[in-house]
Amino acid sequence: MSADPPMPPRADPARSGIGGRVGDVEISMSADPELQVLARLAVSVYASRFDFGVDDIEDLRLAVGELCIACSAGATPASRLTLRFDHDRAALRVECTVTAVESDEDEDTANPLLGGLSPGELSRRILAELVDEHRIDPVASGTRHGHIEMRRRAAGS
Amino acid sequence: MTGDGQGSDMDGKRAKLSVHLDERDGIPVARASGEIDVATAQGLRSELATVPSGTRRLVVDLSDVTFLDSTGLGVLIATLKRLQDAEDESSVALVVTRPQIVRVLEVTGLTGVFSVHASIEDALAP
Repeated sequence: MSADPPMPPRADPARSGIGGRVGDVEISMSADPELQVLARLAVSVYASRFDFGVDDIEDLRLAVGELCIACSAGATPASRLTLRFDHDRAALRVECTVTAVESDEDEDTANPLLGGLSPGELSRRILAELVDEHRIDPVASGTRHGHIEMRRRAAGS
Repeated sequence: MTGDGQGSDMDGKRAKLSVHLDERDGIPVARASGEIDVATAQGLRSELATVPSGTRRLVVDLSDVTFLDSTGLGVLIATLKRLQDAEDESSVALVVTRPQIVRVLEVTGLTGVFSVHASIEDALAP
């Protein structure tokens, strides 16, 4: 008489299918600029589902676009862009990962009209103004990570 | 003249960035409609490249633009720089009515680089 086969572990109802918190969403696509509109659309829908206001949603839409632009610098046709959204009572966070990135060189040149900023720095300035935290990591082993976080505003602020 | 860039609307339907270049009172006026992002900015760049160097005033009407990112801002800045390289006094006036477009200009400090107006008439005023 053989023993019963082991039962698969029961799903933790407090966790989603990708191992994160309830409400985590992960989307993956080619890093083709044509598809970045999907990232903006996704964060708009995600933030609206979790009671972020119209102005915050507009800021998140722009911020996610800039996050994708910054992380996709040096992307190749083989590059994949993955976005992971999560939130809690305090904040909404977006992690961006782009694979098969060829170069970490910032070839942007400073523009006097931007006060000496390069276009890449312009993108970072937008992120700094729109969200509470942002980070664009250097390329490591052909992959670049980035992160933004927007904290919930107190009602009436 | 008309230039188109590829883009998508919020409902997923393909929507192009349209740019139409006309002239009013001897001043070139580029009217853009749609989203200006990393995928469509080339359409704007191509159209604005047809504005001759030496042009002293250019109006870019963004009142029907629903999204503008750093790539689009870069096109506008490059256009202003090209015009000013040929003629120091050249200026680019933007017509902006949507709050989200005003916001991106404000957070980048570009309201001090371009003149920003609420209507084409205001932008064309001497």
